[in-house]
Amino acid sequence: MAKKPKVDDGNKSSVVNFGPGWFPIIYCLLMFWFYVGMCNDGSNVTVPAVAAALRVENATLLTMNSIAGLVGVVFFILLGQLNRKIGPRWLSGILCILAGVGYYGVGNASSVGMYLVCMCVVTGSIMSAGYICGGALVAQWFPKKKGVVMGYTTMGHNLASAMYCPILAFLIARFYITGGVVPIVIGVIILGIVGMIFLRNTPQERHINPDNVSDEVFKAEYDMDDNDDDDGGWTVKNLLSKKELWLAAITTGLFQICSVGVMSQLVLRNQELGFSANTAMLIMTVLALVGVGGSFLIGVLDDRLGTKRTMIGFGIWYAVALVLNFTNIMPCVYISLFMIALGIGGSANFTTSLPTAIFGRQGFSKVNSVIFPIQGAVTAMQFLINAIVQNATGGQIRYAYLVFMAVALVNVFLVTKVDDHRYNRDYHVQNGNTQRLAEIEAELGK
Amino acid sequence: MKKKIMKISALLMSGLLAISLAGFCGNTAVRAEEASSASEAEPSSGDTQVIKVGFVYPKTGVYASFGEYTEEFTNFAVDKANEAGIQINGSSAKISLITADSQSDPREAEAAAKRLIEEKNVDIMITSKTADTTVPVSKICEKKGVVCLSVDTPDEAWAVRPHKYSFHAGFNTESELTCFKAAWDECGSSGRIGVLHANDTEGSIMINAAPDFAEANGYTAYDPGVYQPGQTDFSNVIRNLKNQKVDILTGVMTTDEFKNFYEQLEEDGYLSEIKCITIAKAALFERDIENIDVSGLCTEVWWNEDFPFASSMDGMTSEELAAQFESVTGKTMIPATAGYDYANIEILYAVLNAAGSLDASALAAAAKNLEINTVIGPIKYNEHNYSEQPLATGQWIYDTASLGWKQEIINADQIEGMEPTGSYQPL
Repeated sequence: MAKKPKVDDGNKSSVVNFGPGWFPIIYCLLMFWFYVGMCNDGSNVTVPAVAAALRVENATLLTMNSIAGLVGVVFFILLGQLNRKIGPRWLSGILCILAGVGYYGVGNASSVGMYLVCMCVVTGSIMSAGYICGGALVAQWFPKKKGVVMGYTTMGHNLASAMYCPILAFLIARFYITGGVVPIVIGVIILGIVGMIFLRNTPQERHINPDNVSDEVFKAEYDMDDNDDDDGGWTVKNLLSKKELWLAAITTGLFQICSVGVMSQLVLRNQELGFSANTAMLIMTVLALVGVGGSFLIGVLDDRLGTKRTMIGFGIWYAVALVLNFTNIMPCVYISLFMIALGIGGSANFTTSLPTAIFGRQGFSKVNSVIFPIQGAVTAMQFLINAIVQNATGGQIRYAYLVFMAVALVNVFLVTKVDDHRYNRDYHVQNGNTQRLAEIEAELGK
Repeated sequence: MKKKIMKISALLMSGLLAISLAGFCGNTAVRAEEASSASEAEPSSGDTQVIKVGFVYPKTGVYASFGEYTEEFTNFAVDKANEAGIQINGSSAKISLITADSQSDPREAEAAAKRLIEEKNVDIMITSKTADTTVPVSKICEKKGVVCLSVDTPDEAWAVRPHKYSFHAGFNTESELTCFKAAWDECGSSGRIGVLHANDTEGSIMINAAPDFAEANGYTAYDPGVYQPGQTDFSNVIRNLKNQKVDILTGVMTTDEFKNFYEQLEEDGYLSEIKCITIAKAALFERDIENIDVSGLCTEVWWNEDFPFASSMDGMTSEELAAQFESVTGKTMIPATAGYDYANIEILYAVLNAAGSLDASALAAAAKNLEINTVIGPIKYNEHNYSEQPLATGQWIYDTASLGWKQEIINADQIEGMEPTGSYQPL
């Protein structure tokens, strides 16, 4: 029996009344926090510490991180399939525990080979937990409020950028790298155990409707015929033949290239601009905190304007920010940093919200398992862009930023080609578009 | 039912993965190492007990200059220790040194340490000459439960993991920067300092420490950007230094990196704006400064004949030690490493006698409570198992009269009782 929220519109428009849905939101936020900390931002602290212990150059370990990022794509493929079989509750729990074990190995690596293997385990598990399991949870729990919910969950990215490095640096200063990672390891393992005990795969298991809407709204505006199979009628072959799948994977991947590529070099870029290392780190922290507001704002815009329009706006916004940064004129640089900050969580938001917008809630795990590997492979190209451009320009990061600006603009063009609700059955039910529903059924061969 | 089976399978899979990971970690720790040569100096012992002491240091490779004359001078120190007398389990004992080359490579250093422990069955280990050797050797000793005494590496670079059996005597970055400040204070600069640093451990330590130190002392430190170890093109770094309008250069570089950087700075024309250069690691030895060929360069001095300390082992003063070095090696320019080589054996001697046993726990306990005087100053290990040694500020000057290099001590504030031998000379 579903609970009835005390909102006149059946809780359709609320961006805060999620009831028990706050648990998966906070759970996903924490998974993102651990993901960004362990795999991206935390490397600023762990890499020098492990390199010092192993007496190797930082660059050697950074190369291992890049390889681990690519191996993570393979994990995506395998774990995407597993997620469909056992559900995000169990899989995310297992992956968090695995990430903890791997991270202990990273901090206690006795060779570069061991570091690489452990980083592969960490990247593959916590990234899949955040994006595959987190994506599936958001799609199931918040099919029509995915934008604003992803706005909340991707705050984990910003909070990690702001907090993870200082926390880890503090721990390493007291317990060395070998013991400094232990509290993080314990934290992520506890998260996994809590998830396995308290998390549920669908809102129905907690006796509420998706988006925490009333029964009336759910019956009127949501596709009820979603239990005939777990795949929503999709097969891998069928999905790969759809233009929208490729566009969704490539466009979200390209924005991730811009975002991750810019953020991973931001401290060095700020140093290139003449800021001291400490100031550059401080700027990163401030930007990340500003980005928390940006994540929420992009989530709201995603819900209000639609994912496609928000992505177009985001692409133009980011391109302008990068041009301003490229100028090396300090007032323009300050404006650009503010603009970049607001966009930090945006691209991560789209990785789930665009596929959900296009394919809807039904069979999302299946869709996800096909989209994420492609998206991950595209995103991994950012390492290549940074490396090639910096080699070609004698290490000048601003030229890499110029390339990211071009990528953002090309991507805006690609986004305009996306039919953003093409296979979203809830959307067509809500709009009474029975003809399109029939076409979808026909395309799926039902 | 099907779902339950899937859940159980998934849990089993993750367990298996975790176990394989743990297994991998264990296997990598004991991976096969290449064998390399070790040289052993057996004392004529008779009935005297022999203490096998392993000694890993760079005889070859990029840090070979650190290891120059180390073998002969350490053997000289061992003779002195044996003369002074060592008691183990109530009977007299003598040190037998078994050396191995780290080749200036951390992996080779690990292999050498492992070989000394597993094949030569050393009772205790000593090591020195940069973190690329001392850190991996300590790591192996910790793993094998063998006490390891090291010198001649910055403390922060050595203390990267917890130690139970390893103890170290070195200097820290703050002492190094304090040395450099003495030169900055004298050069009439605007107070804007460019910090040169590679993307490696020593570089990271320097760039993390320099800004706060500079600010606390009325200077401003600027980061001209990190460079990759071994980089030859410094145009980006030089462009940033110009934009930052620095007129003091400091940092930590290898000799070759600094030489390349300096030549490009000179070509660029910005060298004329620089009032003072204080650089760690690049210009420690006469061989280095001959290679760099820059008069007026300032660096830290770990030890020289003017250090006003005497050995607890045999009363040897720094001045006497310098004279001994000259007679042992025939060299008139005494390297700072000579004092540290001698001190390493002084510490070994004191630990062996204090423990009175070759049991690792007894040796570690003796080291933990050690409090002695050596030629490099007092040794007392802190809670992180390292002792902080004082430094002096040296400046290399090309003497046009003798057509040779000399190192003047321009500041010795960290060392009570030591006086400077010269004053700061402009570049």
